Amino acid sequence: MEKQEALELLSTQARRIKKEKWTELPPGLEELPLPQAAALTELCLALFNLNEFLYID
Amino acid sequence: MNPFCCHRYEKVNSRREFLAKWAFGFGTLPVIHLLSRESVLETVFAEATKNSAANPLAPKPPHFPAKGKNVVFIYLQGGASHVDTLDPKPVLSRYDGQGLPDSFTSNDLNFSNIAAEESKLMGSEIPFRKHGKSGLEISDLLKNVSEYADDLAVVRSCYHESFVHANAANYLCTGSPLTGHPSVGSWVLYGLGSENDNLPAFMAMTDGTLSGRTNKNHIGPGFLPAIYQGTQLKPEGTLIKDLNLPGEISLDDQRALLDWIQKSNERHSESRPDDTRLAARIANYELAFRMQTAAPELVDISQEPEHIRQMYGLDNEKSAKFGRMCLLTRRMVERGVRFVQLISTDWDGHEQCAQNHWENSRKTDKPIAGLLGDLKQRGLLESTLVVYIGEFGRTPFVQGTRGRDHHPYGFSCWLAGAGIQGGKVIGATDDLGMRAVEDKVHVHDLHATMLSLLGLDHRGQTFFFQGRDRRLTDVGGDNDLSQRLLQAS
Repeated sequence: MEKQEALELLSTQARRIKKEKWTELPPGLEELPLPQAAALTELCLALFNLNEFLYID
Repeated sequence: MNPFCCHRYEKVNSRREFLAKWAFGFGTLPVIHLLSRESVLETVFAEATKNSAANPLAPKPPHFPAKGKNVVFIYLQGGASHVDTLDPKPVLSRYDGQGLPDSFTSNDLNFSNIAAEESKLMGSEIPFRKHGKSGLEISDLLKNVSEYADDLAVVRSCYHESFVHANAANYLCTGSPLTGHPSVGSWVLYGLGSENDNLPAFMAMTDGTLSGRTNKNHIGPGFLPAIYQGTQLKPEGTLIKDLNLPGEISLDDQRALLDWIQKSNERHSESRPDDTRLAARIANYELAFRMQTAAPELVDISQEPEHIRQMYGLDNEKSAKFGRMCLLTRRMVERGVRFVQLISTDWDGHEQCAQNHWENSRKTDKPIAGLLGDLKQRGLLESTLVVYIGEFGRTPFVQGTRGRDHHPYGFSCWLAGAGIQGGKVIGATDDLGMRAVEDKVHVHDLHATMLSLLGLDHRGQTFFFQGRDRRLTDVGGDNDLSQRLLQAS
């Protein structure tokens, strides 16, 4: 379920991304199309901010 | 449920919970160390909010009717000299330069840096004058504040037992000299909840630098659920760090990401209902999102008219910073922020005390007077309790070159608003300002008074932690001044 939700988020965010605003992406994502790379960046940021990540069992 | 209390048992859901709750939480120490870099640092023993579905910040009715709804707590960090501000001592001036009489020394009076019996008395260099219809005697350090003398109730008999800063500041700001106890603002928020869903209900600003640990104690939630901790604002520049959206992310993007994070966080919390940090973080994400709209409007003082800006001393370089803090405070109170803590730093006048205090007066007197006047003219003073106090007073005898040492055995504060009938003095120190001798007001009594003026019974305002119901006032607070403050002189 979590994986599915993450994929859905990637897909939704990739459609929303305003290409002109994303001038800089993390190294290593150059080969991806910009919307997907930007959405992946957002997803990673979100993952790092999850309680599950910060408050490790 | 507290796992340490006799005959109470609870199911442990995870390794983390086991480590946190058993063996006195020793297993979580490395995690706490890591988390100490987060804005939330609180005890792992914190009892959870019983009903996680309920909003712990929802407005709650007071225990009894009261005019006070908001608090502005002005904390003079370092300790302002009572004999130079609110407690005139002509006898002290008369004996300036002489040794302390034996009858005034005692083994139970300890000082941070000097021995009382080896020092000389030092009268105040600051003139005192009578103000208002009441004739309240206040020094020229509070020249502008004195215009509101008839609104002020001066307490000249404050005391506690801690003569060093950290413990004394903890006492004043949390009711305990030890660390780990909830701040006054957290207790008030716990008791009354928030009236504004779009802003933090407990905000703090300082005009100087405080160590992270000290500041956490002043505005921290201690053993209360983490949701009740204060939010620090900077008085200049970007007031709230990282509040604005990055250029590449739209509000819709932000909302979608937030929804995803919240869904994941809620799923994670379901099996960990006792961890208040998780609930606090979920709530804070939502609050931060709403603040992205509400906070810029709050902190934008550019539309304030010139006469208001002047009222707060924004036209003067010395007072502009604290003036901005006071003006923001009024805007917060207008918007229902429950508790605002203003910290004026550097009152620690070990050398040239009068010079130190004049400097601080130039920074704070006009802004604080402006705040009182502005609250009053808007009808907000009636519902806002304003408290002005340091963690202790200063010695009536000299340290170094006309300096004064820490002095918790008798010092002063003033309170205004929330229905207080001003122009009165409560309590007194002896002729030299050494000890509170009449109508003594321990810091617990002051806290009981503050809660009472907000409609909260300090004895009924409790939180179960480590085996007993804890109070802001511990086992004290019997000298609640509220009824006398509310009565006409």
